[in-house]
Amino acid sequence: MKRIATISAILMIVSCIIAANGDVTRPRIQTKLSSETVRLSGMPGETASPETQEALVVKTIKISGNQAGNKRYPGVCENANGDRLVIFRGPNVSYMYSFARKDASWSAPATIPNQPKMKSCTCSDVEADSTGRFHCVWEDLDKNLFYASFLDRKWTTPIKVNVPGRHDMGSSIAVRSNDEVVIADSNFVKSPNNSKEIYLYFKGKNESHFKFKNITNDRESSTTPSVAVDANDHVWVAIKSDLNLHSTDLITSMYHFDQNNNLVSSKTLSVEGGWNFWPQIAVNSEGKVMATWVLAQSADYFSRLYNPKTKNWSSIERVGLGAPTKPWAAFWSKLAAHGKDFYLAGMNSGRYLHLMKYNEKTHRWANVATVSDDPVYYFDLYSGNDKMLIAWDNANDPSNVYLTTVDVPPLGPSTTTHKISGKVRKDSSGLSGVSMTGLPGNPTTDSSGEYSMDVEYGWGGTVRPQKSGYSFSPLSITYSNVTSNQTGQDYVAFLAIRSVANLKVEKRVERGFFNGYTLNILTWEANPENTELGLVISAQRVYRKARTEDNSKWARIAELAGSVLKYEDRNVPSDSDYVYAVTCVDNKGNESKIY
Amino acid sequence: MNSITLKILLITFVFFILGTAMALPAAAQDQGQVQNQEQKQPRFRVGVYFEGYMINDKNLKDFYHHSQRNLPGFEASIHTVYNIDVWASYRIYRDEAKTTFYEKTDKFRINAASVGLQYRPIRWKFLEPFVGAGLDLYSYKETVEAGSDVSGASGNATGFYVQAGTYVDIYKFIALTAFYRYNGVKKTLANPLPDGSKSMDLGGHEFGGGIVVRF
Repeated sequence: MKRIATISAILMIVSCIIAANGDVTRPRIQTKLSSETVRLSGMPGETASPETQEALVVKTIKISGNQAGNKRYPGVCENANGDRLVIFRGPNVSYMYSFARKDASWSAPATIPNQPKMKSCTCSDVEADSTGRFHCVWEDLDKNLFYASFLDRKWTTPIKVNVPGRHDMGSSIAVRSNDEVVIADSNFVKSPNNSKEIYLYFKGKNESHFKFKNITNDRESSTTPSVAVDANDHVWVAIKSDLNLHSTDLITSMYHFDQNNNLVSSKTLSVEGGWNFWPQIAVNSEGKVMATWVLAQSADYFSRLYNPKTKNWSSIERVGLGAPTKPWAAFWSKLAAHGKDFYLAGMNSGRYLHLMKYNEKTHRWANVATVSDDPVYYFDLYSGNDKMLIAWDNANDPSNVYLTTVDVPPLGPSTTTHKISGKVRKDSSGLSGVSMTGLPGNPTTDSSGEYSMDVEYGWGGTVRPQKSGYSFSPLSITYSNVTSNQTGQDYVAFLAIRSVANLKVEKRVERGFFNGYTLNILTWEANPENTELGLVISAQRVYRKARTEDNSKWARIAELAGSVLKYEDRNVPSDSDYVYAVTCVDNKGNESKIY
Repeated sequence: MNSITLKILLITFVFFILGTAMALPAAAQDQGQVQNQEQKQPRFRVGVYFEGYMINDKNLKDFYHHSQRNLPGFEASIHTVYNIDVWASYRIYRDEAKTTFYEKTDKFRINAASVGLQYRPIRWKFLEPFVGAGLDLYSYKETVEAGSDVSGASGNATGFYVQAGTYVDIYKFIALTAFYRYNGVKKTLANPLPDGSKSMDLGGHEFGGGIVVRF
């Protein structure tokens, strides 16, 4: 009996140990997701980072309506008004959508109207512009890429984006501040190399079709691009590159284009070759650029951060989430910037979806929310106004689309400062001692004519350069809601030429006995300030208007030599009441103000 | 000259013309007596004189700064009947000023011609007074110095005159003369003057004296 009790006790201890180990190795699943749930973030997967986790409110709702089929490839976006749009693959090889006004309920899923017939619709992406319009792309795998936009519950007719070749795999969309849509995709072109090239497509706000640009000419197997736009409307693209077709030596590359789409720089980001897939790229409010990618044989995600101030890329950081390795090509991730923060949505080896956040101080990624209780097939991540939005579909068949929101600090004014800087030029050199009024502290230009001042995030105001004896072009620059560094805020200074002094007007009549006319005699003196400034007055211009007219009515009636001190305005109506101004023009063509 | 004076002069002129017209037929009835008288006096008179012309127009006086101009004149007459002569005169009125601002020379000229009748009612010792009336025919012209952008002007005007005076016999063929003449010559202008005036009065008072040759 005693032996039985001892054996029983040993077995209980072993059972407890086994049970305890099971809890560690399996994600915690708290509720089913068919109805809305609220919970605090859970533990990440077994390879999660040891970073301290934040307590964030996570909510999940079901978007789709139990349609037949699986692999929904959802895309999600929230515009500045707080309206949300989710698109996803429906049951009939077509894309569906569901829309919700801010704080309102979601519409029933419906098919996007007028879709071209597709063979196999796959990935999608959504972005919003400044007007709240949603811009959407979705793929017909190995065939076409389609685009349509959505505003006020109305869709535009979908159009085919890729013109050269055929669309291959992977697409991403971004919008510039002028609402120009930028799309990156992988395109298979037969000529000259039967290669997969990365194309950028651009569509202006009022344009109906896309212009395109091949950014990877002569590559062999470039696919799965991601695109982001920074505050200066520069375009950043991360791609999977393959210099040897069908090899497994894949790398992640980055391209940076300016606002005119000229290449600024490019760089290979990954060092370790292999299945670098689905690279992602995002730019935060400080202009820092984060790129991430997954490396299959290492079963994890990796990242690098670019600092525009130092113009350096960090070393490669391992995210530590783990990553699935099967099925092939289905280990995507999604990256988004929210204010200064970067968030990465990724699946661990069990295909459970997690939201990771980057800590710039420790250079580590930390799990902030466990999104799914079920294995996930595909997902999209978007930075909302005060939430991270994750649309995902589970790996079941049929599968449903869910939207998980994770509370994050709201976007808006922060204590971040941005730099307003530039140079005041006079002729070919800088002008020192110019007071930049309107900037905090009214800084002055240094000996090389340069100025710089930090302003708080969202700062607004009008900056006006001032220095005695000088005028400036532009006269001032007005800022509103500064959210990024404002460099190159340059002014041109020129000597402030003055108008003539002591202008007098005398009305006289010139007449014989039978005929005559009225004339106004203008006399003036050279302005001594012009003389003191050493200005060479090459011409003087006489302006006239009726006394009762406003200043827009000044009309030039004569141009005189610079030394003339008198002008006779003849044949004016005898009952006229004119006022006059005489401006000075220097030998560089600068003209003084009328007053 | 006020309007009442002008009316008196006009009435005098009318009566003078009417009287002359009535006398001419009577002269035909007593032709022999007339012929005796006519044969005692010369038929033609030609003379020169120097006069003062006080023009009426206020604008002219203001612009040219003269209220009177002194000028020579010519006269001629032919005796008809009953001491009545057909009389004519010509003189040139000139004035000059500067334009108001640019001071260009501005010249003004009136060519004044008068034609009418002259009646010498009596001869008393060496005096032979006369009265007369008739038409004034004026042409005027303003000329502004070249280079000015003020243009001149010219035109014509008509009016009347009345006059009175006397001859003073010195020799059989030479006499002195003294006279007063009033001219009424007004003109309505198509283009107003710079000050807005639309009329011009070139008439005025003339008084002077000269020498006449009779033959």
